Amino acid sequence: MIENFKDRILSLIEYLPPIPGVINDLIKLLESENCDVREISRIIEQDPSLSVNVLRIANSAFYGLPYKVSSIQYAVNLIGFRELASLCIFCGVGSAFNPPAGIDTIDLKMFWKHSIATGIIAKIFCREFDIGVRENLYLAGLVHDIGKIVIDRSDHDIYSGVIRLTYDDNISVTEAEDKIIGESHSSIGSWLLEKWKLPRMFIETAAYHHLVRDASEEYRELVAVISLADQIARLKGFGFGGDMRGIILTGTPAFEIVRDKNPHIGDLDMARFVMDLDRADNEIFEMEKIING
Amino acid sequence: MDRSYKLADDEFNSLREYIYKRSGIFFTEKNRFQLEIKIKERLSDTGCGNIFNYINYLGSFNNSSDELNNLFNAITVNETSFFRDRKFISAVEKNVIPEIIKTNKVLGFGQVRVWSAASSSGEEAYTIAIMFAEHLKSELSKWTVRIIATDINEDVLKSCRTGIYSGYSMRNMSPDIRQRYFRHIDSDRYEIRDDIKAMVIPEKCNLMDYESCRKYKGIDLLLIRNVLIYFDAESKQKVLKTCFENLKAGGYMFLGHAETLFGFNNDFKLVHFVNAIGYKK
Repeated sequence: MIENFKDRILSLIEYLPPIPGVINDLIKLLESENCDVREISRIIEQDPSLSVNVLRIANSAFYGLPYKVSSIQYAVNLIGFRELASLCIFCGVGSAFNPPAGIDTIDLKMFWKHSIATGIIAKIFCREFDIGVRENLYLAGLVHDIGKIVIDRSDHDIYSGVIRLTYDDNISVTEAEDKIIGESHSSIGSWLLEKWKLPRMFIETAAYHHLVRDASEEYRELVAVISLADQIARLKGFGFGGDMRGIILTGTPAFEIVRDKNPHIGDLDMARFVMDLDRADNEIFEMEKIING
Repeated sequence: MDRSYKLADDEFNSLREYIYKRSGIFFTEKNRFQLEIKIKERLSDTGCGNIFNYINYLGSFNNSSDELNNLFNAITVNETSFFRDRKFISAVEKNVIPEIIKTNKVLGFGQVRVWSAASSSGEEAYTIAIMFAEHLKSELSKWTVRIIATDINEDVLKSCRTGIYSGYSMRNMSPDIRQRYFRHIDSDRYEIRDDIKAMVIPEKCNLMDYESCRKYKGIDLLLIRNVLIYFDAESKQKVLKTCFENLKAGGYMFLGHAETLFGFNNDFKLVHFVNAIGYKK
């Protein structure tokens, strides 16, 4: 257990650069019920680097459009406001964590790949099994583990010890954090997202993806879907850390919560679903290119 | 010369019905050509000329007849190798074996029973034996680890009993494991270490024969890989019922790489490992 760890982390979060104003504007729009395409396009166009990013996303192999998109408004229409805003917000959040030159970090490539895979798998899961949650799955997947980067930035040596322990003892990152630090990436991630004033659903995803029953009624299903996708990403080889243990997915609280709301998933072939996710590899790879520039 | 015996429709139907009744293995239309290749030699060896004569010939013998064995030997596929399917091996190595050792350990040692059903020439069974040896290290001699390797095919069981293998069947094995567990006999023949050989018990068993399977009770780990594909739905259910009964509570069962139990059995719990699935009682 590390003394004053929470205080150290909180002061680091305090001194992290705020996310850019334009991203904040997008977050506010994401929360509002009725937002109009022109309004979003106007916000994006104000920021040249964001505009470039949006066009890059729209023209990426990920969306596989047969023609070149050159207007922001067109891109917003094509990709959908929420998905596009999620990606922009994520690029903004991600850039706040670009490591300064010369500092050691955890394997960031592996970290982002896991987060991307979680978002994409959550989306495929909900689409395929007709689950009621559709919106914001990407961003929820992308930020669910953000606390890990915060800890790493604060105490890299300690956190690499945590990761090493997951390999040595074949345990989860959460268990290793509990043994070494006594604080989890879940709560730390939620503190950061709270400070950044992200919508409640993302804060809860970060806070409760390992304790799904503690999420509020309103967001419990979303948190449960991300929690399942988090596990499935690990099972498909997109894990973060050395946890290789088996899991009875259908026996997890996350699965039970999703099944309570969508009883039909009790009859679905989970083995086949997870096997067939091999086809998501390409999607994950393309999204990685978008996010890493 | 033609490699296959062209089966007329009524011949195909009668033959596959006969094979199905005796072994539970069902040849679909898709596998018809495979059967046509395999049956050709049986027809010429027995001098039966056509399928109806051949079925009569088979029918005149009891269950353990030599020709029935020859037929089973001809129609079952025996391609296997040591440490085959890396992802399955990794799930067993990192998770299943440590869990079995932990649960079966009483006062520092214990007993383990593994059943490698349709184990062919034994590569899978010996692979499991080696993995237990690697985990138990110097404790191995205090433990009783029994790996029952069954198959319907006498020929492959014979080679399992010899414990002698070619370099090719060891292609997925690390040189270190090969060196520690095998003795180089000559050019391309390697013999497995005596204490490992003693862990494996080859036995003939037809998975459709409930009585003969029943004795493999109290199983901690059951491997029935790439076998169910040969059975039709009804036989599959029957075999899986036996598997479930024979497993210990908490025991694991593994099927082949792309096989699932979906639609055939709800008794097992599906366990996901990294890039592999298993089933638990």
